[in-house]
Amino acid sequence: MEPIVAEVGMQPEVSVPPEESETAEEQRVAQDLLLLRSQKERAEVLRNLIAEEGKAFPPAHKPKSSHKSWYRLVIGLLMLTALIGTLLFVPPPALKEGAVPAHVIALQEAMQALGAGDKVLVVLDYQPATSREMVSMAAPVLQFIAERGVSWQLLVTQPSGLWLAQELASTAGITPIPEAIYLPGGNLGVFALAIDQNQSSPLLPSGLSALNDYRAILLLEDSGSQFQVWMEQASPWLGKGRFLALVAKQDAAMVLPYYDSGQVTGYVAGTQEGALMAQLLGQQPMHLPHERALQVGLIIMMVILILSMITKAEADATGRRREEKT
Amino acid sequence: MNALDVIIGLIGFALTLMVFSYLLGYNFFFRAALYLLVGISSGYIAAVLITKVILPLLIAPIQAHNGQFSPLTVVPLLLCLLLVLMLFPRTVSAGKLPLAFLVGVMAALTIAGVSRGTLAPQLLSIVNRFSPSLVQTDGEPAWGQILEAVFILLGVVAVLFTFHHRTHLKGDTEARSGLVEGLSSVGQVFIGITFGMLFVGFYTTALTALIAQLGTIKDFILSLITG
Repeated sequence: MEPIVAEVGMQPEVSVPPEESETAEEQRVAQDLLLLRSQKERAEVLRNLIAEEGKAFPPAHKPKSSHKSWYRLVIGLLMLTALIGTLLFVPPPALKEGAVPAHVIALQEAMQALGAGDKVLVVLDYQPATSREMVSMAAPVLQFIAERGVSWQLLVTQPSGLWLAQELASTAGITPIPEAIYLPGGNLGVFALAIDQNQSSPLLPSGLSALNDYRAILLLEDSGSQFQVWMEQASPWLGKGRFLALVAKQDAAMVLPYYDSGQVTGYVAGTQEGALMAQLLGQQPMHLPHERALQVGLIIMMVILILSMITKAEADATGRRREEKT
Repeated sequence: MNALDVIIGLIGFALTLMVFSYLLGYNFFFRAALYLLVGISSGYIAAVLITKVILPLLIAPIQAHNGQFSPLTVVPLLLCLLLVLMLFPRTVSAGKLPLAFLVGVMAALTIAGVSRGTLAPQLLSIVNRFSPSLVQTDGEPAWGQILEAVFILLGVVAVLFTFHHRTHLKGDTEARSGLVEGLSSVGQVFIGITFGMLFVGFYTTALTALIAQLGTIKDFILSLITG
């Protein structure tokens, strides 16, 4: 690159315009500068940056895509209309007698092995959003436990569990409603409870026995990760054959490996299995969410997924064709 | 239905409609329902934590119990106070001590828990599926059990190969053998099936909650109409 020689007496382009406070000496040095073109360009960029320093930029204006909200509205309304129509005009089907899964039978056997004098810890660990599903599974089981004369306690691991426990007990028709004990600390709380066999820690809630004293620990879970916490932090200290579980349908895949390894004696996942369990225990199944509406919702989702896959494949193919042309 | 039930039902109905209004976009009604949820939840959780945790488990143990004072009971309170110091810019570093303690303990617990509570029992469970008592029935091979065991083993190995393969692909352009490529592809199929099952589970749970809420609203409106 050819050097550009600033002629004597000429003002170099990159030099900052002399301010009044600039001394004569500085001006003389600036005039004698010898600069490459690349240096001039960098200096220009730097000068622009300095000039923009401290100035507020307006937020980038993103044109709103009205297409997305239209799709959302159409799909949402379609789903709601179909569900409401099914709820209003289609009678719910009777509960079908079908093959009972092995894990449900295992839970039933474990429940029927409980007798008067046995102690059971019921761990309530679900959110209000899934309470309908959980209550429909748990209430018949609690009724069964109460009828057998089993001594049981309610432990909650989330603050909202305190009122959900009351709701569950009153739905199950259990009186007086037992006071739920709140275990804070998440993973650490579960671990501390599991290892505190002498109940010597003043930092654990009072009223609980050591976990080893319970014949069974019944987990009511709607979160796979929280279920895993119990399996990883408490199960190794207590040995096999102690954990039973009632879990939301979304956790069925998560619980299965722990059932296969024997860490969970038996479990029920979802309202349908919950109704089967209630029948096996000789209890009245709870009012289930409308099964036909559930089927309609699943069919709509399948149709949407298949249409989305076809549309995406079509869009990709069109994009490829355009690229080939250009 | 008494007056309180009607009021609670109407509030529930209105809040449900406000949440459904999200279909029209992120609007005022949806935001109001969201803020209401966050505000009430925060207040409730704060009240529970004060009455169930801070007072009985943090403050009460410090008081002399049966005439004996245990200095260890002061440690949690001191760690909490150090955490409070994080609110002030000059003392942020002091608050890092309890955080470091927590992170260290959590990491140790997680590693120990995963290995003792998940990896070891489930690996043993896979090995046990090949035990002679399970793969034989009256001295004859139980092909169904054998097939199931082989399928599970294949799934585990293939998924492990998928992740191994991905790790190598990041910095290695060397061509992989056909066996590794094939196992990796099989592993992706297993991962896909797992994610599919998880998605269906999440969707079913959400749908159950939605149908239950719609059913409640239907019952509420019918009871209003019929008196």
